[in-house]
Amino acid sequence: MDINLGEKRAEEIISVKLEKEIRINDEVYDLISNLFGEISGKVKDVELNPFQIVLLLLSTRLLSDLRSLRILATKGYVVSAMNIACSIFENTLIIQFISNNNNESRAKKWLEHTNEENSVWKTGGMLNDLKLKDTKGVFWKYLCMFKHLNPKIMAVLNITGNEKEFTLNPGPNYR
Amino acid sequence: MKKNSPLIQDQTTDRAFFWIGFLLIATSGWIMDIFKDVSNLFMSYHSNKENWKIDYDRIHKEIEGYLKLMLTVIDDN
Repeated sequence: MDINLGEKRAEEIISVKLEKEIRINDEVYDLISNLFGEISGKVKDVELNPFQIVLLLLSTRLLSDLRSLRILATKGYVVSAMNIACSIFENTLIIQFISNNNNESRAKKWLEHTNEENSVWKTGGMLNDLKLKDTKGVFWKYLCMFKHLNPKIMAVLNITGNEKEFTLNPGPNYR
Repeated sequence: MKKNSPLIQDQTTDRAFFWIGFLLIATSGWIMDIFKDVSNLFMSYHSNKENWKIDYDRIHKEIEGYLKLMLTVIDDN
């Protein structure tokens, strides 16, 4: 089947089967983007504290990623959507880490970071600090397995079959 | 590939649908959780704070319900 037709077919099936999940995802996007729409034009840089600036920057990326995930997921690209989910997870964790105890120095550290080789903080360290390693951290570990091409999980949803015959499925997963 | 290779998985219809649904809801939930704590930083700029709160609470409650259901499925597997 032509890939464009395949994606269209996937979208038709998924939009019916997961109608409520898609609606909720859209509502979250609209709610948060409307909040920033309200802010836009009303605020001057000088009025914002470092954490508010970080929040605006990271939230812009969050909304963009949320919409990207929605597009990929509803066209049946589950594994690619997991990469975006991993990015969303790490982004929300940074916001949570900085906002913990209203830590302005962490916001300043993030804004002043210039090192191109390393992130400001390691995700594992932030999970430990927030005592989330055994709860939310479990999801992050799973998403990272997809993102970093872990062999144990590479084939999930993209190779089907048994030990005698298998099929590669690089296109949408919806069957 | 080797016989019984772990790289070959049985694919079921439900698995793909489950993960698509889970990703749509879980990422929405993570973002909503963040804004529960930080939205007050921007509320002074909002023209309709009451509507924001009503919408936020309704969507957040719906997401929590879905996530509880989905986590039950993950635990069972």
